[in-house]
Amino acid sequence: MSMQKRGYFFTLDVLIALIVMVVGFMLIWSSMATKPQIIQPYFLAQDLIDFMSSTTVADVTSISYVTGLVDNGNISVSQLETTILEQIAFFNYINQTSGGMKDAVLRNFTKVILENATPGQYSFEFILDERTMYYQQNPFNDIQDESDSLASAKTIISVVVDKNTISEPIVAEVRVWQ
Amino acid sequence: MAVKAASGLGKKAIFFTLSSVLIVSLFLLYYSTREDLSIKEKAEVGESRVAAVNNFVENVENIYLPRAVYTSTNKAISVMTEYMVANGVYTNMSVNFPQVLMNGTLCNLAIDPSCTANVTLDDMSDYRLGLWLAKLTNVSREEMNIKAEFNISRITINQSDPWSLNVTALIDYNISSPGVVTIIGRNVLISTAVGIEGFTDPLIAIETGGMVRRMINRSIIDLETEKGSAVVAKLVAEKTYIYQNRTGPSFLMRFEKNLNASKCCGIESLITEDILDTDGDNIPNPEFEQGYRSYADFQFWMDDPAILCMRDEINYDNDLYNVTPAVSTELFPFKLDRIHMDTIYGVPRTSQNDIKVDCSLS
Repeated sequence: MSMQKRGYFFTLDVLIALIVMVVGFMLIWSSMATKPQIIQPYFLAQDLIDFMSSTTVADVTSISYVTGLVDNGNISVSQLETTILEQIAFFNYINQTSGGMKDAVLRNFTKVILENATPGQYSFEFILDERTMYYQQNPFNDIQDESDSLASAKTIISVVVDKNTISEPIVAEVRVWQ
Repeated sequence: MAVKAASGLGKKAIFFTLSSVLIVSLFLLYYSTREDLSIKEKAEVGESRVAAVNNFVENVENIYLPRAVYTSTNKAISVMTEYMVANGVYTNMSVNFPQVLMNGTLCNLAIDPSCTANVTLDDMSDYRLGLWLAKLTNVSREEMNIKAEFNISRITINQSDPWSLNVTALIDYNISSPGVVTIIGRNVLISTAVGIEGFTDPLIAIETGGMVRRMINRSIIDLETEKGSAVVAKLVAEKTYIYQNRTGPSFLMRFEKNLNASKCCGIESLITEDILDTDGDNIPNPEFEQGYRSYADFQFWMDDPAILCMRDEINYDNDLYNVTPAVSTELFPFKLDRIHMDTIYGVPRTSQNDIKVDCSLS
């Protein structure tokens, strides 16, 4: 084989090898890039639980609906220092023991607190004691059951209803998906 | 020609060998990366499980248990008082209170001093601390895959403040997320303060056979600055309680009819007409007619009026005094002992309102 032919052979060899390597690396990177990002939804879900567990009702009295609830006695002055999650659990207890009389208050309070609480590309659902209290769909209409990146954060909540009574422990759950 | 052909094949073989090595390397790289990701994912899941268990433990110690102890204590005190009034018995709080709080049962020490048989208090059945803990255990296991075991080894109730009870539960727990993390707590103290205002005074309720149920209601009178018969009259009218640690028993001591002084937490109210005349016929109940009793509530029901005399032998004379005119009715002349007149309420004594106690009667 002449030197010219050998050069042609090795050049071709390098080219083929390069193509194989580039295609290979692209495959690897593409598989990583399309991997569902489950961590971000989990942090969002946990953040929402933490937010509701640490923010007091007094902190959200700038919302006119909440102020209205304080004014009309649905939220007592002593409850201003309870957390949002406790207040929701309290409304839930009152609602259950009153045969559903406080359902609107429960849902509206939850709505004004949680509305737009996550970035727009995420959908989320707040579930209390196995009942959906609030549901927000992202613009892409991603379906929860078909999502590859569904994350959930839970906590147990129980509130002092009166000095003799503590509500049964129930689960508050936030699900976030994309 | 044959050598030439062999040489060409050899060069092609190198090409194929290199290509295959490269492809195998890529596959190895691909799968090793995936394995790394999988381990990372597992670590993240484990991390979130550990965080969930940590949060749960933190909530158990700081929120769930103190709240459950608080509400169960409130209910237990009310239910115990009702039982005591209905049966006309006193209790031993250190023995009976933990039973009622945890199990809703109580041994009647009046008829069962060795505390071998328990009475079930039905009104407590839904409020037992043990029941609530069982519910928490169920929910945590079923909904959060957190296995929790609690063992309350001791419950104590005491007072260091006249207007509140301090309830402490000594608890062991074992809380785990199976296969991820286990947190064990030993001798963890859960304390909660329970205000006594609003509870029925067991001493007055039992001694009046349940006819008078006086709620503990704190007076706004400050005995450091306010003195005199007007203060006494106000306390009688309001039926409120004052802090009085010279001779008064604490709220807890009233459950045991221990009428000694409590230095930290003594309280007292004053005897009023509704106690002296429980049927409202304007005739004092016969058992209250005889006179040598101070109208400070605990002194009124001392089993032996001679206690007044005994005390008087040490520091005070044995007289009682009418508190007039601020508190007076013909049927129920209001009487106080000398320590209440002088030191606690600062009511002037005169020879006219002096009632000699005949200690020979005791």
